[in-house]
Amino acid sequence: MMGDEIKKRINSLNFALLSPDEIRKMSAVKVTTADTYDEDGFPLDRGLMDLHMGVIEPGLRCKTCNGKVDECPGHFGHIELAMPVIHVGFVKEIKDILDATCNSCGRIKMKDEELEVYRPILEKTILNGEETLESTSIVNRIIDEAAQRTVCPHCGAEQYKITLDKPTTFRENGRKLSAKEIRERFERIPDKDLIFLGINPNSARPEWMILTVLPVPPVNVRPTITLETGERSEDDLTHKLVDIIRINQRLRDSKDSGAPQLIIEDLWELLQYHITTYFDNQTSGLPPARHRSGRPLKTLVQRLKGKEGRFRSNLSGKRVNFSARTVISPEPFLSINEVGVPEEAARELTVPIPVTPFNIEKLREIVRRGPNPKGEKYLPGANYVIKQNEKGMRQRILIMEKNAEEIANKLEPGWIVERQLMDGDVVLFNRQPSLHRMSMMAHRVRVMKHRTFRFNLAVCPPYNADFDGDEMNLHVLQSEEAKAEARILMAVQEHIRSPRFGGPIIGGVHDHITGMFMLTYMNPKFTKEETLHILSYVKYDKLPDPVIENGKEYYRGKDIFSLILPKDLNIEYKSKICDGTGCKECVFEKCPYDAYVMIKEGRLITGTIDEKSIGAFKGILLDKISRDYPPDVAAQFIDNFTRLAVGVISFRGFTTGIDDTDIPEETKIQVDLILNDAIEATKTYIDAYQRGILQPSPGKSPEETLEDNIMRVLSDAQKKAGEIASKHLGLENPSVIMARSGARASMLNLSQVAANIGQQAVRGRRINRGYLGRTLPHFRKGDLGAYAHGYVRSSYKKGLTPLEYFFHAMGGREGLVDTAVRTSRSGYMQRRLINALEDLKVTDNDGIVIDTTDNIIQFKYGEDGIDPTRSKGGKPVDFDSIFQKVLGERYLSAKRGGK
Amino acid sequence: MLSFIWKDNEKKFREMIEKLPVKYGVDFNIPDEIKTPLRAYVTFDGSIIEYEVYIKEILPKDVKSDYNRTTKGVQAILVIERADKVNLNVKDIEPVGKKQGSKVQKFMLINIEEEAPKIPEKFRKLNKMEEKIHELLASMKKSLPDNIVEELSSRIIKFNLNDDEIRAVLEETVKDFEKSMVDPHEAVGIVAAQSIGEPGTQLTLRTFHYAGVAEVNITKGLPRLIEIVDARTKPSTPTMTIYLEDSIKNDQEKVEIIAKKIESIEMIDIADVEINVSEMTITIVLDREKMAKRRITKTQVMDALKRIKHQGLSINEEDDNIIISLEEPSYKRLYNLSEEVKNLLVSGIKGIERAIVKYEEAQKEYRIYTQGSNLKAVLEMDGVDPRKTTTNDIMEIYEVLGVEAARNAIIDESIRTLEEQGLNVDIRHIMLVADMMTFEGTVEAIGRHGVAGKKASVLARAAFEITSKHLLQAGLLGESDGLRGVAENIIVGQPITLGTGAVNLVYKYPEKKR
Repeated sequence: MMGDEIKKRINSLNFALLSPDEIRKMSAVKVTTADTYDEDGFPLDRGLMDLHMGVIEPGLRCKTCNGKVDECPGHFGHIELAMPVIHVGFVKEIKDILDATCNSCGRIKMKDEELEVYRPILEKTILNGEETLESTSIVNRIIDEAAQRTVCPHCGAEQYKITLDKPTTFRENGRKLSAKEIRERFERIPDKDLIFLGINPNSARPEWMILTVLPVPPVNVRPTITLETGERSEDDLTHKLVDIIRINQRLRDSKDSGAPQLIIEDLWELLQYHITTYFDNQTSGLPPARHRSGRPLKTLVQRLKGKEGRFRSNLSGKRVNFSARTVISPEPFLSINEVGVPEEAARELTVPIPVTPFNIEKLREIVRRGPNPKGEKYLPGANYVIKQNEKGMRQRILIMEKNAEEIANKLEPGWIVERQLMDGDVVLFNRQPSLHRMSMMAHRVRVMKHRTFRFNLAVCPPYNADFDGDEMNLHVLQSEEAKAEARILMAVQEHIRSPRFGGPIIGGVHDHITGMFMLTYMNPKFTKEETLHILSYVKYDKLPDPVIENGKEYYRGKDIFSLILPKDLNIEYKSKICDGTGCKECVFEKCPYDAYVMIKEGRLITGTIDEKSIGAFKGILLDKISRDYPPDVAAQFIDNFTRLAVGVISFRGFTTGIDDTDIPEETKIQVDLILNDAIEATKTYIDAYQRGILQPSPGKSPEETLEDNIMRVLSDAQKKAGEIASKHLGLENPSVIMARSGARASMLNLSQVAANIGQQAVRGRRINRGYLGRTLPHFRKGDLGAYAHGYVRSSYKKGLTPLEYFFHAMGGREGLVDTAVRTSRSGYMQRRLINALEDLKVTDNDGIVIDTTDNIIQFKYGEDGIDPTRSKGGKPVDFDSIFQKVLGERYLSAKRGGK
Repeated sequence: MLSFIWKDNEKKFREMIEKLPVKYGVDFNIPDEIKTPLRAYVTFDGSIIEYEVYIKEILPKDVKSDYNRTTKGVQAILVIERADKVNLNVKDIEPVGKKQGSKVQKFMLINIEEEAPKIPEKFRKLNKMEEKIHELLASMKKSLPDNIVEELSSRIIKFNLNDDEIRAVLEETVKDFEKSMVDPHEAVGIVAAQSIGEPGTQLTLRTFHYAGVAEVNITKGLPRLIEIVDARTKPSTPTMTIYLEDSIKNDQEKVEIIAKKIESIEMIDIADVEINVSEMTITIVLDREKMAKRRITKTQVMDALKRIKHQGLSINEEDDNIIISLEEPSYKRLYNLSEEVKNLLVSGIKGIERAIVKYEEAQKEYRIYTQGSNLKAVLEMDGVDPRKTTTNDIMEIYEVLGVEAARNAIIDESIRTLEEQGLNVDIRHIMLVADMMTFEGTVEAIGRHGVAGKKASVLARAAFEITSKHLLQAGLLGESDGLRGVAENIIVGQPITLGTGAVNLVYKYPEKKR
C-alpha cells in the first residue's frame, strides 16, 4: 500500500537514432527464418514468432525473461540485411547531406572559418535542446550554401550534382548511387561537422540513416489473431517482415553464389521496396504493398499517424473502465447537482473503499449482500474485494452469492472493497461533443429505477442536450483526490456561470419560463389549496401573507415566487415581454404591461418573471444570484424555481395547438391586401427594370437593384402582415405566451403560421437556380416575378402550393447542408486552437500568462487579471449593485432621474 | 559637395519654400560626421528645376512630432532654412542615401505638423476625482485598474457622493474586484480556445452583402474566423474603412473626389485595347463616356502610358485613339504589351477595386468603404484620417503599422465577426489568442504551420499533425522532451501541469509518539 502513494514522475524523454550496434545489442534473437509457426502451431526457432521475442499464447514462457503472457514486455529481435538499404523517413536529410558534403573527403563544402561562426549558437540550440526550431533555419542556410560549391574547399575534389529519383534512388551526374556508396560517404563525415547538418553527434550518425540491420519488433506489437475457426491470421507487420526476410535471404544467396550484378541489383531494389513499405506504406511514387485480399497493409507509419493512429486514439485519448453510457431523459425533481443512474448500471459501477477499523462493520454488511442484493429498495452490494497477499501482491477476489458471507467475515483493515454505486457518490457526467469544460461536470448519484440517466432540465444548456435520443457517458471516480477535486471544481453548481461570457449558462428552459410567466404575469391569485399544491415541490419557510377577498384567502403569484428568492436581494430591470414599443416613456414599476421587474429585499414587487430573469444565457436575476451568492444558494434557487415552475404549469395546465394561430376573417383579408400590394409593387419594379428606367442604387447594377427592391418589398410585407396578425394574438394565447416570454419559438414563427411564410432564399438571394432562365418549367423563361423565384405567399396553416413547397424545401436543404459543413469545419478550428493554447497557464503570484518554455504571453491575464467566469458579463465589478448597496433608494431615483 | 536628389511635386515644393523654415522627413540616414549647414540638390519628376537647399538642423527620426502620414521609412528629419533656385553642374552631384554612391536616390517628403501632438483620449491625464480615488485606494493599500477608476469617478460625480459613501463604494469595489481575480495555474489557454471554438457551430457559413453598402461583399461568420486564426497573407475579401479628416468628412463632393482617386482604374475600364496585326501596333480606343463617368482625362492616360517600361516604344495620339508601336515588333511582344496596357493603372490606388461613399447617420459623417485594400497608399493620401482608417487585412496592418497594431486588428476583427452573429465571447479569450499569435513579434497562424507546429515538445507536435516527420527529426536532432505541457504528459500517463496538477502537496508525517 505504501509504495503506491509515492508516485514517480518521468522527467524527460530523449530521442535518438538507433545505431546498428545498438540494434544488435538490444536484440534477443537474430531472425533468419521467413516463417512463423510449425505444423503443430509452435513458434519456429529464429522465426518471426521466436519465443525470445516474447509470448502471446497462454501457457508458454518467454525464452528471454521467462515471463508469462501478461508479464513479459516483449523483446526486439533483428535481421541482418545482406546489403544496406535507405530508410525512407530520412530521404530528404540524406539528399541534403549528400548535397552539402564532399564526395571524397566527407567534409562540409564550406571553409572552417565560414562554419565556425555558427557553432556556438548551434551547440546551444541542438546540444542543449533549446529552441531547436531556430537552428533549422541556420542549418538550411548552411546546406543551401554548401550545395552550391562545385569544388571542395578542403580537398579540392570536384563535386557533382546529386539528384533524387523519388522515392529512394539517388543519382550523381546521372549515375546511380547505391545505398552502400552513400553509407560509405557518410562514414567519412567527421563528428565535428555533424552539428552544421542539423544532426546531434551525441544521438545520431548520418550513416545510421542507411540501414544495415533491421530491428524486429516484439511479438506483442504484432500479435497473431486466432479466428473462431481455429485459423490463424498474422499481423500486417509480420507479413511485411516475412517478405523482407525472404528477399534478404535470396539477395544474400545470390551475392554469395556470385550471381550476375543485374540480378543482385533487382533483388536489392526489391528489398528496398519491402523495407520502404514496411516503414511507410503510403510513400508517394510507390504502389502500396497489399494484403492478399487487396487491402493495403497497415505498416509502421500508418499505425502512428492520423485520427485512428496510435497517438491520437491510444495515447492522447484512452478507453477507461468504471464508465457507463445510456439514453438520457428529464427528471425535474432531481437537483441540478444530481444525476439519476439506473440500478443496472449502478450494480456494475464500483467505488473502491479501503477497509478501516471504523468502517469494517458497514463494509462487511455491504459485502455480505453480494453482487446482486434482493429487495424492492436498492441497496449497494460489492463486486470485488482486493486483498494484499503475503508477497505484497494484490489479489482481486470476485464476490458471488455463495462466497459473499465467507469473504465478509474474512474482511480486515487494509483490504479494499469495490462497493457498488450508491446515492451521494460523485461521478462525472459528459455529453459529446465536449466543446467546453461544462460538457463534463460532477454530479451526485441518485440510483433510480428504469434504464436511463436522468437529470434536471436546467442542466441541458451546458451539455447542449435534449431528449430526442441523446446518450451520455458517466464516469465513476476512483480515488479520494479525484473525488475531492470533482466535488470542489467540477460540480454542476460551480459551473452555473460560463467562462465564455461571464453569465449564467445553467438556467430555466421552455416550460420553466412558461411556468414562471404563468405564476407572475399580472400577479394571479391562487387559493390556499392551489398554493399548497404548487408549493408542495418546493422548500420554503412559511406561507406568505394571504390577501383576503370576499372572506376567502388568496395567495398572489408574485408572493409565491418571492418565497424562493434570497432574502436580501434587490434588483430592477426590464423583462423580456417589455418590447419597448407603445410606451412613450418607461414608467418603471408602474408598467401597465407588468414588464418592469422590481425586487426589494427578496420580494418581487412588480414585473413578470420570464426568460430575461431566469433563462439560461439571458437570466439577469440568475446572473445576479449566481454571482453574489455562494454556489449552493444559486443551485438551491435553480432547483426551487424549476420545481415551482413545474408545479405551476402542471397544476394550471398548458397546451398549444394550431388554433392558437387562428385569426379573424377580416384580418385575413387585410393580410391578403398587404401581400397583394407587395406583389404589385414587385411588378412595378420589374416593369421599370424591363423598360430600363429603374434607377440603380449607388454602386449597383440595375439587376442587383431590382433584386434588392423585390427582397425588401416582400420582407416588409411579411413583417407588416405578421404585425397585423399578431394584433389578434394576445398574451392569453399559449403560443404567444411561449414566444413573448422567451420559452420557445418567436413571433416571426407564429406569423409564418398565421399569415405569410415569405421569401425563400438560397445563398442569401432569391432562388435563381434550376432550368435555363427559369427555376421550374412552370414559369416562363425570364420571369422575374416573385412567385417564380421562391416567394411563398401561403401560411403554414393554410398550406403550401406544390411549387411553394418545392422552394421551401430548397431553402430547408441549404440549412441542413450548412450545418453539416459547419460542424466539421468548426471542429477542426477548435482542435487547432486547443492545440495552440493548451499549455498556457497563469502563474501563481502575478497573473502572468506563460507557456511551457516560460515565454510570457501576457503580463497580466486579460490585461486586468480578471476571470471572465466571475466577471459581470466581462466587466470586473458590478457597479450597479455596489452603488445600490451603498446608496440604496437614492441611487435608483438618481439613476432614473438621470434618464 | 554632398547632394541628394529630391523627388516631389513642384507645386507643393513651392508652397513649402514660402513657409520656410520647414521640417521634412527623408528616407535615408544622414551620416553623423556631416555638420550643418548641409547643401542639397533638388529636382522634380518630369520638370527639372534645380535648387540649393540649406539645411539648418538634422533631427533624429524619433524626435517627438506628429506625422500626418505613415512614418515608415523616415530615417531623419531635415529642418530646411533656405532654398535657392540655381543651375548647378550636374557632374558635381554626389548623391547620398541608403547606399552611398547610388546614382539617383529618391526620398519621400514628409510634412510634420507643427501643432501640438494630439494625445488620444485613452492617454489623458487623471481628473481630480480620479486622483482622489487613487489616493484613497493607496491609503487602503489597494489598487484598481484605470478603467474601473474612471467609471467609478464618473458615477461618483453623477450621483454626488459624500466622502464616507465614496469610501464605502471603494471598499465594495475592491472586494468585488478581488473576488473576480483569476485563480493561479488556471488553464486560461484551454478556456479561451473552448470559448472561441464552442460557438463556432453556431456561426453561419455564408458571406453576406455588407449591411447597407452595395457591392462590398465581405466574408463573415465561420470562414472569416478561420481566416483570422490562419493568419492568411490576403483575406478572401479585403476591404477598407476610410475615415476622412474633420474638414471634409461632411462634404459629400470632396469625399466623392477622394473616393474616385482611390478607386483603381485600369486602361481596360475606360478604353478598348486592340491589336492591329497588319500594322503591328496596339490601338487604344478611348471611351469618352466611361472616362467622363470616372473623371479621367486624356492627360492622365498619357501619363500612365509613360510609365510603361518597354524598349523602343512610341506613342502617337490620333483624336480618341492612341497608337502604340514597337521598334522591333513581334506577335509575342505585341501581345504581352497589350496585356500590360490593358491592366495599366490609369488612376487610383493599386489593389482597390471599388470605393463607395456612404453617409453614416450615427456619426454624421461620410466614410469610404472599399473592395480591395492597400493601407500604405491610402494612409498617405491627403484628406484621409490616418488615425482611424483601417483595413480588414491583418497582415497588411502588420506590415504597415507593426505587430501591436496587428494584435489589435486580430482582436477587433474576431470580436466583430462573433458579435455580428449575436455571439457573446469575452474579449479576454480573444486577446489571449491574439497574443499567442503575435508574442514572437510576427503574426503566426494557429495550426501546424504556426503556433501549434512550433511547440517545444516532440510528443505534442507528433500528436497534433504530421506525426512521423516530427518523430524522425527528433531522432536526428537528439531532441529531449521535458514533458512540461499538457499533451505530452497525457501521452506518458502523468498528471498535467495545469490547475491542481501544477502544485505539489507535501505532507510531513508527524514523528511517531513513543
